[in-house]
Amino acid sequence: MAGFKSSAIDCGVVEAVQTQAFDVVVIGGGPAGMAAALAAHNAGAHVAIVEREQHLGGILRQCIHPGFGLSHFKQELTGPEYAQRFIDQVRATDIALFLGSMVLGIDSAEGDPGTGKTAGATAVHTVTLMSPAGMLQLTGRAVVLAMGCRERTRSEIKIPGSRPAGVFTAGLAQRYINIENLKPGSRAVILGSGDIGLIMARRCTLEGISVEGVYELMPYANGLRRNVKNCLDDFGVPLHLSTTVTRVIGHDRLEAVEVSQVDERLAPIPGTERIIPCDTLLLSVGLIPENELSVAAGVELDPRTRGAVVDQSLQTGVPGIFACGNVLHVHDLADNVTTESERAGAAAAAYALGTGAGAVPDCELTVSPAGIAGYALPGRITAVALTKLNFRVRRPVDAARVRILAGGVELFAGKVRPFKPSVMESFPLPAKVIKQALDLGASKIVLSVDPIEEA
Amino acid sequence: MSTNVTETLQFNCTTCPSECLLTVEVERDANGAVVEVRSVTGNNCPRGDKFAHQELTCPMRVLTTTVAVSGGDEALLPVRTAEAIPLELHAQAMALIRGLVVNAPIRMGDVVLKDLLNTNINLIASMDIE
Repeated sequence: MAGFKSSAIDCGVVEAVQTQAFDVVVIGGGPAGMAAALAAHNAGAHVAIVEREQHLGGILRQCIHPGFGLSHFKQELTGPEYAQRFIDQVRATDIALFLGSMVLGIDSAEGDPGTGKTAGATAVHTVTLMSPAGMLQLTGRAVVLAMGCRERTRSEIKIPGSRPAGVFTAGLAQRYINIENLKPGSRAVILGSGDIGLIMARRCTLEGISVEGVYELMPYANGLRRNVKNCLDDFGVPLHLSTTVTRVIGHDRLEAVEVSQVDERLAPIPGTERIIPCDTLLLSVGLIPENELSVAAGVELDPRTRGAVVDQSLQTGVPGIFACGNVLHVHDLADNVTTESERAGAAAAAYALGTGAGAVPDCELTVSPAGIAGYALPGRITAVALTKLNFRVRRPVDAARVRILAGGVELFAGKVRPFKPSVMESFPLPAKVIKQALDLGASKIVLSVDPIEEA
Repeated sequence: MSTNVTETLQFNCTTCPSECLLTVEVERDANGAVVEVRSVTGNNCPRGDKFAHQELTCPMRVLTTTVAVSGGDEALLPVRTAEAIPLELHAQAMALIRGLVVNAPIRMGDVVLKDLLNTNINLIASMDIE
């Protein structure tokens, strides 16, 4: 896309493209984008949202189940209700909406698009998009990345067998059933016990699509407990742990899948194969932040989260570009996306309007995960202030504690408690701990989650 | 007389995101019907106790599904029961809701079906459709 764009510039086509100026341009109109835009607007910024669908709301529009809003609104809402409350708030402002519009690229260099790294306090980002009215350019001192995530597909988990119709990601089937009024099949097997897989087991059952079972590679369920209970237990749908799909069978349409139990190294155990007749296989095998635009804009990604490396204000390595929501790291609750995105939106507005403190960094510390912590976010700390750290453990444990280390010294140890991979954890890192790390001359803070042996 | 049995169950409270793991001692009669919920432990707030009692007598859930839309910019309207209804009514409710068609425009909270299956609970729209 960058190549296409520069050739357009070479041809002089770019001069014909209409440009509109904003303080903050938000890419994505889901829960992250709406919360960031509202926070930026409330901070006094002139804001635009670019959304590729015809409506605001993002994936919440197809998440028709309840379970949203318990922390943000103190009541249980469905996904569409949660979205509608934010849509109403956005509509009540002068936030400019570019719907049905696809962002093609973000250009962060002023004057010379080739060099990339010239962004300073006066740099303006240019967001090029294709709207129903044609190509447009939006400029903004700050850009908020809020593009969400995508589902992992069959090709990413490499299930052997033929390639018939009837193999869907769970979220695609959810879109068919809840938005497009299409029935994906009649007899389904679900691979993966992530939340979308569990939710779809219930949804299929209610719509008369029989669900033979949910199969999970790991020895534990990956989704929230409430979803295992309300989506499987309520409807008698069995959950088969340490079991996976080892073959897809069928010519034109899926006819069956072969499932096998796996050993402790997750390898299929020969002799445990079973053939399950079905015409539909739903995959709920993980989500990946959708960062093609970010990478093209020069944003560095964390290989652990597959989202941007950010500082405590959720600013990426490209000055003025911020990231929040599922494009930054995969959340399990929309409420957490909202809280995080409000921070990103407020920080983007402060940057754009020049009202933020800390234009000159206080410090430069990196944050790394250790022990069973799969990642730690933010990856960089540039201010000595109370900092919200997020992390997720890689496996469930009954007893572990969070420890903060710098230069080999333990600066903090949390209380012993259970941790689950399905829950994104949040930990407030006190300013005085950051100060202690700096006093030790450390350039790195380690967030370690360490299992405690049962006494 | 004492054909009643006491059993211990474990399930998660789903009232809030804390999802406390409840341990519940329940006394059942010879037919398996709940005579008394003897104790609830593991809950970090009183809502867990209330949830456990409800769960063992008549589990209640919010039902969500979709209804066909006529004349709107979306094919389907997401709907919900305004409050939780008995779980055992969900299949019957789905059979009834499946046949409904609503006309756009619709506003979030509009009543789509009054007093669903005599539960005194309305089926309402979850979203605006133009």
